[in-house]
Amino acid sequence: MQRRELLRKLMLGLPAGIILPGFLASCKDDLIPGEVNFKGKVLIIGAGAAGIYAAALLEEYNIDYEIIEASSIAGGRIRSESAFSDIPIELGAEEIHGSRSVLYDLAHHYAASKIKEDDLTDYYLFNNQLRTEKYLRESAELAGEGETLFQLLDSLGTYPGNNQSVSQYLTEFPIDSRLFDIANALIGNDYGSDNDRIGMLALREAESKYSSGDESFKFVTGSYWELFESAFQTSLSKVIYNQQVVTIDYSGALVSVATASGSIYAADKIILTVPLGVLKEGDISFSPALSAAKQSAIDKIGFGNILKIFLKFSSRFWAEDTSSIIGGARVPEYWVTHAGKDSTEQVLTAFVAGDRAQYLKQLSEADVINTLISELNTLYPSGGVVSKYTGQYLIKDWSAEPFIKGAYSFPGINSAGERESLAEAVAEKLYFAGEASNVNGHIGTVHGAMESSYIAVSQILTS
Amino acid sequence: MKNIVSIILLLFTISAQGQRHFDVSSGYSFINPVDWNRTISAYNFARPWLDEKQPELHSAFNAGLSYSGVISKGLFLSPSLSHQMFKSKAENGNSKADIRFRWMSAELDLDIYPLEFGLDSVGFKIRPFVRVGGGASALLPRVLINDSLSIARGEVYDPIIWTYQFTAGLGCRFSISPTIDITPVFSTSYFPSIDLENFRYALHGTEYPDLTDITSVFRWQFTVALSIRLGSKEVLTD
Repeated sequence: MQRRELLRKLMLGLPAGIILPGFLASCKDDLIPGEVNFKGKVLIIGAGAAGIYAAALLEEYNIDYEIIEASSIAGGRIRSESAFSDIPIELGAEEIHGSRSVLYDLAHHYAASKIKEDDLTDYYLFNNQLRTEKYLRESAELAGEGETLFQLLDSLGTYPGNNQSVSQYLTEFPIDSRLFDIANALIGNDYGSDNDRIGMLALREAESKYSSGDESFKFVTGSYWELFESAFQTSLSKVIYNQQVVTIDYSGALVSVATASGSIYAADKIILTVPLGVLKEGDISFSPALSAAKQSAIDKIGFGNILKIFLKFSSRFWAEDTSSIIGGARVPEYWVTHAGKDSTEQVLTAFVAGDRAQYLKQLSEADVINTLISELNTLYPSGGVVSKYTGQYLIKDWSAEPFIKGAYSFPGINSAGERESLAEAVAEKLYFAGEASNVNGHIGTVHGAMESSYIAVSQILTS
Repeated sequence: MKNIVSIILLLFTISAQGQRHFDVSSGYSFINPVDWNRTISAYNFARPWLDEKQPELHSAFNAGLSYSGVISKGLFLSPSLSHQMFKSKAENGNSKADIRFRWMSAELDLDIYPLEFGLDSVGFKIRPFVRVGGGASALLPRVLINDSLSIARGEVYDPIIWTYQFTAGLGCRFSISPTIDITPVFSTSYFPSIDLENFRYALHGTEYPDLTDITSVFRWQFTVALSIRLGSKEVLTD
């Protein structure tokens, strides 16, 4: 080969080597895995976090959609009240769980200065004394039983046994029964129920998959829903209110949705984000009826009843570094509502789920407040609880919400594996989203609801 | 890693008697890791509020060192070490995501020189060659969210992923003086089934269907090496 010829070939070949990678890079995939072919119309039912976020995702692909809401306001279980205190109080979702989630990223993007990690101290009621976790773990009084309890809490995701309730499981360990109320607060109540109703296998499923991080963030100014209003204005502007869905007919080419007010909506696909409580009550009839597997999932997955009771005091009687007071017999957890926030007011939130909530619901409001003040007076005998109580309270009972019927789903005793059934699309027409259909262990959370919407929208786009 | 270094030192010793050269190289690398980039695309899709989307991982500058020693007429054994950093960075006000894939490769190639020609009078020689070989690589994927290393399933995401590769390429050694060569090389390496171990969790914080950490990668490289020739004999007459 002549030198000149070789040089000429090299001069041609080398640029080709440089251009080829650029050509390959130009062959970009769509945003989601799989080819996006869907060009039809989507109807989103429910304008809570899942519904609004689903709408925002559909907008990225310019998909035609409508979003209808049964009530007169958007937000679902995210709702704040501004009249009770000098800053909004959260009647529903209050915390951002973990820093590794789409919700945290959203909050960090729009409201980085408004959220703060809760780094205060939890106090536990043990033997009529408020103790720190360190005390429970190390105190000779407990002879290691407190440490056993906290280790057990850390290992729920690797539970090796058969199906049983958390309460039954706890009896297998040498744990002082005086710690059971603490265990109930940290597991059952936290999941929106009681240890008697939480199943170990379903709990293991949730705990082992949970991946968002252990931190907890609260809004120090503003409110939870303001974040969504900032981020999803376009989606929110399209919400059609007061449209309570009563029937969904997916027997034809288009899905037909009828509302209590007589409106009819038709779409190629439906994203159903109504709370599990609505499905459990059978408020929506499906034609054809949902499969036995789907109905079984709806029946077996627990849906919690939670009361949030806000009490306003003239001054603080709890330690300044208090985040939560855990383990009360009547109220499993109180937290300092305005801890770390831009507020001069002193408010406690009583967070009560399951049977304890049911018990309080049977009482008059006056008796509920008396019960709580009496319990707080026991916890802080020299705190002047009674004299510092201003008489101002607010009770939020989510089970009384007609289009929500409870708080959030919990891992019921026979519900292991049922989330996948609940989340499964029906006939490539009905797609389920919302915290209850989260299959990644993020149940009962706002970011879990958003994740389920991502999956539903991805499935629709690639269907 | 110790084994790889030992092998390279052994080869260095074996081929230390004939013609040999040290190369210092730099160039451009390109990858198209489809499944990892889908994870990045899904990150963008899940965050419609981001104005600046997270770029896909594609290109990086590389740098390397190699040693070539003749083992037979027209055959050189060439152990080498190379480094590159693939990056994907986006800033959106308060939100920052920075994906960095440090990729370090140790490789043993066989360079086959079928011919050489040039102007003996001025010492200018051209020696095209074909390269085949393979080796091992360490891949250090990192995801920084808002300047902090990301957490994947409760652990800081800072794995070291070991993988291996097969390489083929074409190059040409231009001898511009009795001791200095300029050597452009175009090569591609195939890395079968690299498992990034929770990359999707590091980026998304959760698992979504159809996203996977495992993908096979072709890495295309164009490098130019500056070589110091230690032996005086010609390539094809050794």
